[in-house]
Amino acid sequence: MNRISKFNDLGLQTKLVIVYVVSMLLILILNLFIYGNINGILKKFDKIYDGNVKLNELSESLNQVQNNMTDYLNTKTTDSMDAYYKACQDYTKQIDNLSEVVSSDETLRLEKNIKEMSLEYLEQTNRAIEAKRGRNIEKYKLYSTNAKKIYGYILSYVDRLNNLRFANNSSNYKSLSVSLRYLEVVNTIVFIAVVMINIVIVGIILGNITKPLKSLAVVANEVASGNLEVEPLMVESKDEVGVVGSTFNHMIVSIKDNIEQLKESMDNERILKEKEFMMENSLKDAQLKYLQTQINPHFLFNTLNAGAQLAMMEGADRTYEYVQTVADFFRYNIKKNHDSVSLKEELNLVDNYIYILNVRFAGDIKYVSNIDEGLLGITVPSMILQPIIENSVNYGIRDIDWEGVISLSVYEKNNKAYISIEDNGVGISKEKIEKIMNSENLDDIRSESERDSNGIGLDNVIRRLKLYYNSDDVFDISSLGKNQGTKVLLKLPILKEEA
Amino acid sequence: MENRVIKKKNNLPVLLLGVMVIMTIIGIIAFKIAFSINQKSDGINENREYDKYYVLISTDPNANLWKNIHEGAASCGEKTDAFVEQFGVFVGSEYTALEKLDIAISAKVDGIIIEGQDNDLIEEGINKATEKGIPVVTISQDKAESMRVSFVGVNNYELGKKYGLEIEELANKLCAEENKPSVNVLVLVGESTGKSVQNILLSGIREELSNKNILNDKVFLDVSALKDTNSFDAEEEIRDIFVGENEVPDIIVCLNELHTNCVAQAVVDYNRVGKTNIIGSFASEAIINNIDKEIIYSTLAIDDKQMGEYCVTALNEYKELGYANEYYVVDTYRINKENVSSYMGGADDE
Repeated sequence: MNRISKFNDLGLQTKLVIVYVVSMLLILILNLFIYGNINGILKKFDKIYDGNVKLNELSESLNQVQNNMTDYLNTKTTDSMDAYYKACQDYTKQIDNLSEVVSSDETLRLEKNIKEMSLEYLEQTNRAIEAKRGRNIEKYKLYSTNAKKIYGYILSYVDRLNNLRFANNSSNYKSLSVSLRYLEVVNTIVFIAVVMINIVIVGIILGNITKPLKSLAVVANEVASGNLEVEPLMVESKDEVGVVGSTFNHMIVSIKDNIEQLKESMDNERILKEKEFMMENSLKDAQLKYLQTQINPHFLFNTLNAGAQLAMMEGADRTYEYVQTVADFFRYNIKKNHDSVSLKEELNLVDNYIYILNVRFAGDIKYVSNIDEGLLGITVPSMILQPIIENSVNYGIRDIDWEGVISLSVYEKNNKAYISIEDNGVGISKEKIEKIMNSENLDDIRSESERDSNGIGLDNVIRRLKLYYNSDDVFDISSLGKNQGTKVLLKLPILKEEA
Repeated sequence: MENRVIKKKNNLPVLLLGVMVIMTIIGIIAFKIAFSINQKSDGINENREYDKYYVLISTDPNANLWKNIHEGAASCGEKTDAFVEQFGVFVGSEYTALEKLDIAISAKVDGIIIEGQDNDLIEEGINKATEKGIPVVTISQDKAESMRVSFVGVNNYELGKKYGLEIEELANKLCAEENKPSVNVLVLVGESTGKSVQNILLSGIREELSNKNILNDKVFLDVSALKDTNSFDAEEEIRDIFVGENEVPDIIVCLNELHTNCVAQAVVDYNRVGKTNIIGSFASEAIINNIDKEIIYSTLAIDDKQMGEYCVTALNEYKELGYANEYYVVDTYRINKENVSSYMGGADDE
C-alpha cells in the first residue's frame, strides 16, 4: 500500500518512465530467455547431427583398417602396412570417444559393445599382420577370419547404433520442435499481454492527468463567474497535476481572504466617514443652538410683529412693511425641520433680504431678477441663496463708488436648474476663489463684518450643496478681474418637491 | 465511497505492472515446465549406470517365455546393480545363438545366460567364454559337459511325471464320461527343443503312466515332432492332425507355448471343442482365457520369472565367490478350470 501511494506521489515523467522501463525490461528478459532457449535447442540439434557424422567417420575408419589389413595380407607391401597402422591409429582415436559404461540407455551400451569389439578386432588384425610377417600362414588366416567376423559384428552394431540414434534424433527433433512451438505460444501470449497492459496503464495515467484538469477547468469557470464558494478540488496525486490542483485550491482561499480584507477596510472607511459627518452635523447643531441661545428668534419675531402692528395702528405704513419684512426674514430662519425648501421660498427670502438692505442703506442696491417660473417648484436646500447675496453685498458692492447691481437669474439647462447671482462689485482674486472652492476654513479670510452676519458662510453653502446633491459640480464662482464683479453659479439637479 | 474508487483507480497502474511481471514469470515457468515434461516424456535423461553387464541369449527372444525370463532376470539385476540384456534382439534371425555368443564374447560382457542346445559349437563357445573369464549360465536346457558355471531349469523328468498325472486324470474322466475303454494321446514335441530334454520328459510321462498301469491299456501314447521356429510351420502341421486320414486324438499334450496356442485355435476351427482335449504348456493370457473357456483342459507352466532371477543370482554368486550352485531347479505349477480364476487378468505376473 505504501509503495503504491509512493508511485502516486511520483511525477508524471517518472511514472511514464517507470512503466516504459518495466515493460522494456520484461520484453528484454523474455527475448533473452527465448534466445537462450533457441540457442540451447540449436546446440542439441548440432549434437544430434554431430553424433551421426562421427558414427559415419567411425565406420569409414573401420573400413580403412579392414581394407588395409586385407591389402597387406594380399600384397605384403610396406605401403599397405603403413596405411594399416595409420588406419589403426585413426580408428583407436575414434573409439576412444565411445562410452564405456553399462547403461540402461541402449545407445551407450551399443557404444560400449562397439568399443570392446573394436579392441578385440584390432587385436585380431594385429595378430593376423604379425602372423603374416612371420609367414605363419595357418595362423594369419585364422586371425583374419576372426577379424572379418568381428568386423561384420561391429558393422551391424554401428548400423544399429545409427538407426537408434536416428530414431532418437527424430523423437528429439519432434520434442525440440514442440518446445519451439511452446516458446512461440508463450512468447506471443506474454508479448500481447504486456502490450495490452501497457496500453491500459498509459491510458489510466493519461486519464489521471486529464480528469483532474477537466474538473479544474470546471471549478475555474465557476470561480470566473464569481462563485468563490466552490468545493475545493480533490487532490489524490502529488505529481504535476496534483501540484496544479493544490495550488489552485490555495489561490481560491487567498482570493477569498483578500476580498474579505477589502470589504472590511471599506466598511471601516465608511464608518469613519459617517462619524466625521455626524461630528460636523453636531458641530453645526451646536453652533445653531449657540445662536439660538444668543437671540431667541421667537422672541425677536414676536417683538417685530408687535412693532409692525404698532406701526400699522399709528398709520406708519412704510415702517409697518419694513418691520413685517424683517419679521418674515427671521421667521424663515427659525423654521424647523425644513432642510429642504422650494426655490420660490428661497427667492422670497432673497427678496425680503434685499428690501431690508435697501431700507437700511437707503436704496443703494439695485436688484434685478430673471426667473424661469417653471423652476419655482423645485426643491433645494434651505438657506443657500441669502448667504450668497449677503456675500455679494458685503464683499462686492459695499464700498464701490458706482451703483451696485445684483442680478439673479434662474434657468434650466441640461436638465439642471442654473441659478446665477452676479454683482458688479470689486471682484475676487483667483487665489481666494480657489480657497473657497476647496472649502477650506475661511475664518482667516473672513472679515469682522461677516462674523456679524447670519453666521452661515459660503463654505457652509458649498459643503451643504455638495452633500445634498452628492456631487462636486454644483457650485462655481468666477470673476473677470478687479472691479469687474463676481458671478456665482449654482447648477442644481432638478428635484421636485414631494407632496 | 467515491474517494475509495478514485484511490483504487490510482493503484491500478501498479497492480497492472505487477500483473505484467507475474505474467512474464508464469510464462517462463510454464514454458520451462512444459519443456521439461516434453523432454522427460522422450526419456532423454532417464539413464542408469550399472556395475555388471549380463546378456541373455535365446533361440526365440520374442516368445513370451523368454520375455518373462528376461523380465525376471532384469528385475533381479536391477537390485544387484547388473544390467541384463536380451542379447541381439535387434539383429533378429540374422545371427544364430552361436554367433550371438561370439559377439558377446567379443564385446567382453560380464556374464552370459544362454539356452543350452544340442549343438557342440555352443559347448565350444561356452568354453571359449569361460576361458576369457566370462561366466556362462545355461538355461532351460543344460550343457553339462561344457565349462558352464551353473544350470537353471526345470527337472524335466519330474515335469514329465506331472504331465503323466494330467493325462491320467483326463483319461479317467473321458473314459468315465464317454464310456470309452481307452483314449488316444498325442504328445507334440518341438524340433528345436533339445532331444535329450524331450526324451527325459517323455520318459517321465511314460514312467508315470506305467506306474499307474494305464499305458497301452487305457492310454495309447503317440509322439509327434513339429517345427516350432515359427507359427507358420507348426500351424500347417497341426492342421494336418485334424484334417488328416488318421483319427484325431482325444488328448493332445503340447510342450511349448506356440503349440498350445496353435492346437487350441485348431480345436476351435475344426469344431473339436470337448472332443479333443488339450494339456498345454506355459501360462500366457491367451492360454489362461482358453482354460476359462474350457478349450484347454489344463496347462503346466514354469515359473519363468523365477528362472530369470536364478540366472542372475548364479552369475552374481560366481562373480563374488568364484563358484556357484551347479543346479537351480525352477518351480512349475498347474492351471486348470478349478484355479484359473486366480490367474485371470494378470497371467504374466505369476
